[in-house]
Amino acid sequence: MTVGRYVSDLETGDVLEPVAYTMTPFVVREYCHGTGEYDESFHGPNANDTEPQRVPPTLVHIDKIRLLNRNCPDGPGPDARIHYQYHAIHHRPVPIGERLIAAGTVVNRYEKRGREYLDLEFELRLEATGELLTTYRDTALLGYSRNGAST
Amino acid sequence: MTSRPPIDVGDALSEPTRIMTRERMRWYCDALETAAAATGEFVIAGPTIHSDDEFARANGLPGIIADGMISTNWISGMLYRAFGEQYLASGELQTKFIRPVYEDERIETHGRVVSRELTDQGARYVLDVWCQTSNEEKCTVGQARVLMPVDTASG
Repeated sequence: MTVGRYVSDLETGDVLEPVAYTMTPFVVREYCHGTGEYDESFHGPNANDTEPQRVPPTLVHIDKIRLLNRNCPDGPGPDARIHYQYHAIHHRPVPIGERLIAAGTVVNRYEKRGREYLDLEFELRLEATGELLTTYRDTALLGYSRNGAST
Repeated sequence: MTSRPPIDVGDALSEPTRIMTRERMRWYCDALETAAAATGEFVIAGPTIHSDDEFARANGLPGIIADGMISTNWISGMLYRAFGEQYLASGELQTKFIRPVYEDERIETHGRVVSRELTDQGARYVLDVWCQTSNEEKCTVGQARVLMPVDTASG
């Protein structure tokens, strides 16, 4: 199912097709190398193997990318999308090695000061039980140069 | 991450100053695409406003700018180092990207505890968090909340 060819096609009320995946140690390590997160607890279990590798909660932002890639396969649209706001609520730590399911909806698409914004809301749950792990709200500008003055 | 200094209202948090190099911007793009693909293979991202000057200029920018999630992650790491597992289990982080971060700018990461309220579930900390340039121009601003069990919460 494709909700929109491009992200710029999305409208208020659109429901994105969920994406299921397994959070792997590799993905967490790669993400942490990419962000410069140096705490060893994000790179593997502790020395005695009594504490599992941790998952940075910011990885929920990748669920947005997964869902947009699935639902809008041709990309952002005529202009690059610019991230404006991140808001994550952590309900419990995200586990490594379990199947997760990410779902998302378009909460609002609106214009403000000549620029167009897109508000998306996401939920990340354990696939097996439906237990809520993270809720995430994301605001992006749909374009920059065409919709307002540059800063 | 088992022993942490007490945290109280007015306390300041910070991370080492980092330079927003071109490489850091590109590494994040590759990490994002690698994580999103989740194939187990490393992915090199295509051109973006964070990695390709020409692409950025075509989108109205003077050159590449950093993805806001880089500074958000620096703030998130700071909160993990202050609050540990509880930040992962019951934290909340809101950030807004109010100024682009350009190549080679020196970025400081800060937080300050603005309130601590006792609730039935524990002590709820509220923090202002932000990243700023060496000229003290804020680029990422926001708030964080963390619920700490009373027996481990300080103050």
